[in-house]
Amino acid sequence: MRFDKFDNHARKEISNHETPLDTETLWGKVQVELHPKRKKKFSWVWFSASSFMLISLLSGYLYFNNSDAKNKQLSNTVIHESKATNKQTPAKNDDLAKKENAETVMQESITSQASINTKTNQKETVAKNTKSTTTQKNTPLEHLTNANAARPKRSSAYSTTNQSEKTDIEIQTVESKIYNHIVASEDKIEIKSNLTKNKYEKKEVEKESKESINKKTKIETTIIDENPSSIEVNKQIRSAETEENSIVNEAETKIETTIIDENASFIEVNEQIRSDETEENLIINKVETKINEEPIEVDQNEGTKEENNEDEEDKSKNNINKNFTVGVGFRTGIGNSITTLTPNAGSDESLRNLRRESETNLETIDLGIDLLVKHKSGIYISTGIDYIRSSRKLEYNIENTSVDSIMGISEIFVNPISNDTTFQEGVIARTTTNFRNKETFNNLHMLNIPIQIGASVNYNRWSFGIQGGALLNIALQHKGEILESENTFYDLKTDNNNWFKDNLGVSYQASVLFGYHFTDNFQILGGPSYRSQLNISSDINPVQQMQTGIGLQLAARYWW
Amino acid sequence: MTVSQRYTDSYPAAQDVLQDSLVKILRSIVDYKHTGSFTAWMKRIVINTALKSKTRIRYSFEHNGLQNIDEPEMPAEAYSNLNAKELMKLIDTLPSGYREIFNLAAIEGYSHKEIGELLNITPSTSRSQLTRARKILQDKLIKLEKISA
Repeated sequence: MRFDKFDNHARKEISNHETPLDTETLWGKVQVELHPKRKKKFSWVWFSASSFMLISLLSGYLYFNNSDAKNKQLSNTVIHESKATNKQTPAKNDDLAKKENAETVMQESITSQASINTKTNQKETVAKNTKSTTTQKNTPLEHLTNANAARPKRSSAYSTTNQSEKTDIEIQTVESKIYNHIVASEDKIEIKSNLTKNKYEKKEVEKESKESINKKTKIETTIIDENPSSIEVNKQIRSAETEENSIVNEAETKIETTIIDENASFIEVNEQIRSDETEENLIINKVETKINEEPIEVDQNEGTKEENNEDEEDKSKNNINKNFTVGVGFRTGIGNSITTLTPNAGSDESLRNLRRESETNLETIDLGIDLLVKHKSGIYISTGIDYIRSSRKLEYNIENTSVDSIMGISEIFVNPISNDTTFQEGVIARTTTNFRNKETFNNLHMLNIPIQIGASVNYNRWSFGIQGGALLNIALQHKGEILESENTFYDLKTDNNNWFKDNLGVSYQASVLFGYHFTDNFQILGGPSYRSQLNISSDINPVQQMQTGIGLQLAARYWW
Repeated sequence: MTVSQRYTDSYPAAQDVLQDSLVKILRSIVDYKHTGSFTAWMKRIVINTALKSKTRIRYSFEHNGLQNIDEPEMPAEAYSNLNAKELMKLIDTLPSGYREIFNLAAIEGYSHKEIGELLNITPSTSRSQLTRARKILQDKLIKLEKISA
């Protein structure tokens, strides 16, 4: 070949030639590119994850507290009731036992009193003492009877059978009154508490009577010991008293039966109250609230601090429940992603212009699940997960012209005299132009954690609100192709030159929402939304691509 | 640097190409399979980067009908005294497309098939472009010879 020598000479000369170069500067630049300042991707991931966890936990705590508190309220009521039911019988059994003891002692004292009154003048002092003791007992008993009919038998235990009958009538009257009160549902609790108060008063009276009886017995023993001479007399008196005792015992037994009957009727009354309460659920709720606000300690042992604490806890939980509501929501949106393409510093506009001509905006779709915690004031905070797909279309007509050499007729000679034509063969150029239409869809997939604050006001079933906050990007994926130069395409998925970011960090979103409550809990909302400008290109991308989202949102929320 | 300079229009552009190439080399050095010469592998990366760095030119030529392309004759006395710098300057005067093909074929020793794949053109196009590049160089060398004479 004629050119081989020139090629060899040029190759030899050029290959050995070294162009002077500032290697240090070059290496510095290479190092910068090798270790670019990576965005703190992990910190955002951690921040997003921790925020999500925190808000989820808070919401969960509030939600489960809500259900727990409700359950507790109900269970408290049940416990109160069951305690009341359980306690009434044993309390009354205790009362009966105490009564039995007290009455046994009273029998003795009455017997002593009778014998002293009827047979021995020497016993006048004792009788007086006993009487005075009896009077002391009668005073609280009378007070008890007047206060309520809860313990009318007490007086009957210390009085005659007639008195017992009288008390029976009084009890019946009070019971009928109680029943009437029960029918008036609002007064039920008061009646209950009155009854229970009376029980306490009764207990106190019993205690006092017991003490006085003990005192009296002591006095009697002392008197007997001091008067040994009267032992015989006393024996006689006691034998005479035995008959009276049997009569008194019979009377006491009757009284006891009456007491038991009365207790049974009390239980019946309570059961009646409860059955009425079950029927009137709305009133029960009110009553329960009242119970929580003014805990009926009387059903429990006096001064049960634990229950007081529980009630206080219930109160505070109720307050939390009233202040906050928890909701979940599903959100969808559609809009247009406005894309701005600007040439990077140092890059010419040719590629930007090529991309502008070849790409068009398509729709942006937004899907999300929200977890919301709302204050009674209407202000709420929400988080969740958010998926955005932004689409663009690439449409490019490629016109590829190539020239190659082929053998053909290179010259035509025409003899002017003979008009003979001679064709000269040789290498000729062939120009080939290829047209190709390229059409592809570019998608940008984003996964974000939204952290938003909003406020809403309600007008009947309608609501109006605004919300805004940050979108923390946790994943980003590009798919499709863009023009890299006039005839070549750049694959967005592989992103060989690292032209696009791996993570977008934080963007901001705001929306206006109009809502309608279909039920107390279920709400549908809709309105315009705006997402702030995002630069999805890296610093080395010759064309900086920024996207802004404007669209319409539709959301459904369920509140607890 | 010499390689990148041959495929670019200016010194700064050549520097950029070299910088990008070095980054690519360092990033993909783990993928090097030791199958061929390491220098050749690096040179190929530099050439690829240089060719991709600029907007591809269109190989479009205006021809008035049929055109005869002959292999030009290169007088040895015209170039034997030229050193590397002068040769590079001479090659730089070629239009961008011709220069690329001349560099690839004559200096790097690529076949027309390889050039076709690199530049997305047919081998015959590469061949004809090389011929035209040589013709231009010949004209220039003759001119130079006349001037020096």
